[in-house]
Amino acid sequence: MKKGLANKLLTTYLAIILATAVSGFFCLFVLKMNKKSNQELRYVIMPSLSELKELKAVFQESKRLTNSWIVTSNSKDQERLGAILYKDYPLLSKNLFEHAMLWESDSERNYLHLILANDSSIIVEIKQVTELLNNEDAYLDDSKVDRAIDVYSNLAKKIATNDKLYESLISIINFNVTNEQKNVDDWLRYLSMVLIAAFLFTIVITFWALRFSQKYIINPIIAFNSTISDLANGDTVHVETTLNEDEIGQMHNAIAALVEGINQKINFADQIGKGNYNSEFKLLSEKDRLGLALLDMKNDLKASHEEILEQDKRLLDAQRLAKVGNYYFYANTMTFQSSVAFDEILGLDDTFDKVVKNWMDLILPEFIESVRSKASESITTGVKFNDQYQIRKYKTNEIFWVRSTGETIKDNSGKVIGIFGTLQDITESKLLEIEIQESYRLATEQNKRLSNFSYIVSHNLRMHAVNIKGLLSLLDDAESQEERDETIVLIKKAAGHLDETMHHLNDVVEMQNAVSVEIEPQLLNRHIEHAVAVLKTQIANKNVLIENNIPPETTVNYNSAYLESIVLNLISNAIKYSHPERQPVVQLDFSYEGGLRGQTRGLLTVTDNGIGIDMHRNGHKLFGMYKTFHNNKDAKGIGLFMTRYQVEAMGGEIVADSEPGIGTTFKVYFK
Amino acid sequence: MKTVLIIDDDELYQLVLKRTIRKVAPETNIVSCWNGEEALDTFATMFMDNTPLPDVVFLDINMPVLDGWQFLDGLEKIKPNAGELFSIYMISTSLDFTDRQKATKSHTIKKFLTKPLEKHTLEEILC
Repeated sequence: MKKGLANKLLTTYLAIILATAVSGFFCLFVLKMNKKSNQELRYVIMPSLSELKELKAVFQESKRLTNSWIVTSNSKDQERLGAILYKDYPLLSKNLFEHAMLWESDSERNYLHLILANDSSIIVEIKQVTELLNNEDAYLDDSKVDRAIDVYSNLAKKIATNDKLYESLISIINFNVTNEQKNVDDWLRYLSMVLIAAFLFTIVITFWALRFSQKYIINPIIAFNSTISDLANGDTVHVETTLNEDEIGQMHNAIAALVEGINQKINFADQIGKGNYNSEFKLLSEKDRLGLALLDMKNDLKASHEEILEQDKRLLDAQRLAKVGNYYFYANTMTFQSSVAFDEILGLDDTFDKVVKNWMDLILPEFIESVRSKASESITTGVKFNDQYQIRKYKTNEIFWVRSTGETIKDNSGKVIGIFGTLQDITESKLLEIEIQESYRLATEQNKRLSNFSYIVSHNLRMHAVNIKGLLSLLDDAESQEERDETIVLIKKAAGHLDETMHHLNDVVEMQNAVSVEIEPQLLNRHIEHAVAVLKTQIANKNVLIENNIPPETTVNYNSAYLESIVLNLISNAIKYSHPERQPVVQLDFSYEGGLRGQTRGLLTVTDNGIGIDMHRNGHKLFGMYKTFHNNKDAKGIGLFMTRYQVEAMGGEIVADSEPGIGTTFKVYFK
Repeated sequence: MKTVLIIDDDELYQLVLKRTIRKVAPETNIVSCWNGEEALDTFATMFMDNTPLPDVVFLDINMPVLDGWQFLDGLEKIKPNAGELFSIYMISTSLDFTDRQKATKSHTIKKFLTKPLEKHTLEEILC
């Protein structure tokens, strides 16, 4: 507080008071001096001066009266002189003497004593004259008159001398009066100067005090007011600290600290608002209630945020586990927002612009129209949609299945403003569904074949039974031995057909009942060479050209007997149904093609230039049992039935393409 | 004297049927085809040459190249309502109910018969 504002102000006020006091005291002093001088002039000097002048005049009148006394007896003059000598002079001298006692100067008083002494001597001599000439008779005495004249002459001289003394003393007194007046004037001038100096000093001090107050009090208070108003309005302010140690400086620094504290709290609250719950905050003091409240709020929000994050993480984990993401489509901008799981499903990153067109571009072309149609219908009718389609993953182009659902979002007027929906990766279930459908198809076809098989069994067995029955009936009705013998031959033939059919059926049943079929790597060309060797007679007879384009080391995992049977049947059929008007050519190729799950599968192709099959008419019966399509007597209708069964038993597929007169191609897909 | 056309790919059955018909109606003129396609060619020739048509047709179902049903489809194409010109009996060893039902609904087929044809059945048809 050494440099405290109060001390400065107190010093200023003391200076003003001192200046005022000095000027006041000086004023009083001057007034007192003036009063003293005035009193001295009024009651001492001026009466003295007047009395001196009267005494001087009295003596001049006495001189004249004395002279007159000597010249002629005049009662009036005598009375007058008597009045002067016994009344006026004693009174005047007495008053003068009393006044002289108040004179400050002893020399003047001594000078008066000298004059008064002379006066006394003069008065004595005047009295001598009057006593000499105290009656009429005396005038007649010349000696007395002469003597009186002599005394008179002497006293006239004394009066003249004393008159000069009076003049001198009067001059001295006048000089004193002048001095006294001059002193009063000087004091008054000094008073004026002091007053002016005090006034100027007061103005300067006051101006300085005002400047000081403006600089160190008013301006800071205006700044405080502005700062506090800004704070009251919620504005962010910044106050620099000051080196001033006075009260205003302390107040300034206190407000600066307050503002800094508020700004820190604002920043802290801002960080909390932005979710930065690890931001640090230092309390202003242990009593910083607002800071404590903010810290409590931060901790509560952090705990809530962590809980939300945990729930979000669980939700995201659940979405990832279920491979389900969600999206929100904005109809006005044709853009969409999506969840993390959604982005992960489609492989979206920051480089992907989330507009609907880019989403549609990922959908496989064959599904786009369906997706667009269902979304448009949903927007138009407001009903939910549920669609399944194949889509490419962003950047990797991996193709997979998704299920997309959507529900329209409407504003208060009922206008559709967007769609909220989900996207689920259903590749596994979809492939499983496809596999199940394929299995169902295979099972259905198997069932159909079994049904067909039972029909064939029934039909063929019954056919032979019918023939035998008919022949037996003819045998009963035979009218000659020759006819009986012919009929018996036919019965034996029918029995042979029955036996052959039974063998076929037995082969099929054995094949279908095989519990396990051994699978091992098979060199494809080894089986082809074996088939060509078995069929060498037919090949030679028809001059068949076998074009084997299969790479020598081509290997497939297969059952050996099945593969041998398949290859033999296909080449055998190609030779059996060759075109009579051209050299039979059988071409064998092998390649790899993409399968259902993206893996490759082997493909054996057997192409001939034979008579071909009318696929439109007989395609559906091609692989049926006992189905024949030509008038070839060697056709049993069992070979392709067996081939198809063997191919499918190995998890593969066989298809045919043929054109009458051109040739046939069989494609065998290996699993 | 009636003419019978047998359409069947079973050689033995054709022989049995022919012999039975001769026992029942010796005067019957018997013609045979091995499958539907051959039968269609025969009818096409008959219609083209304006030769006498058979009175009775015994039509098997299961045959190579063209089966019984495919033959009827072809016949309808070359001669609509041909069933009104002669009697078509569909004969089969099949006990399949669907074949029988389909034959019953057909206006072209006069009757569905199961093999073997008994003598009295043939007598009803031919005599």
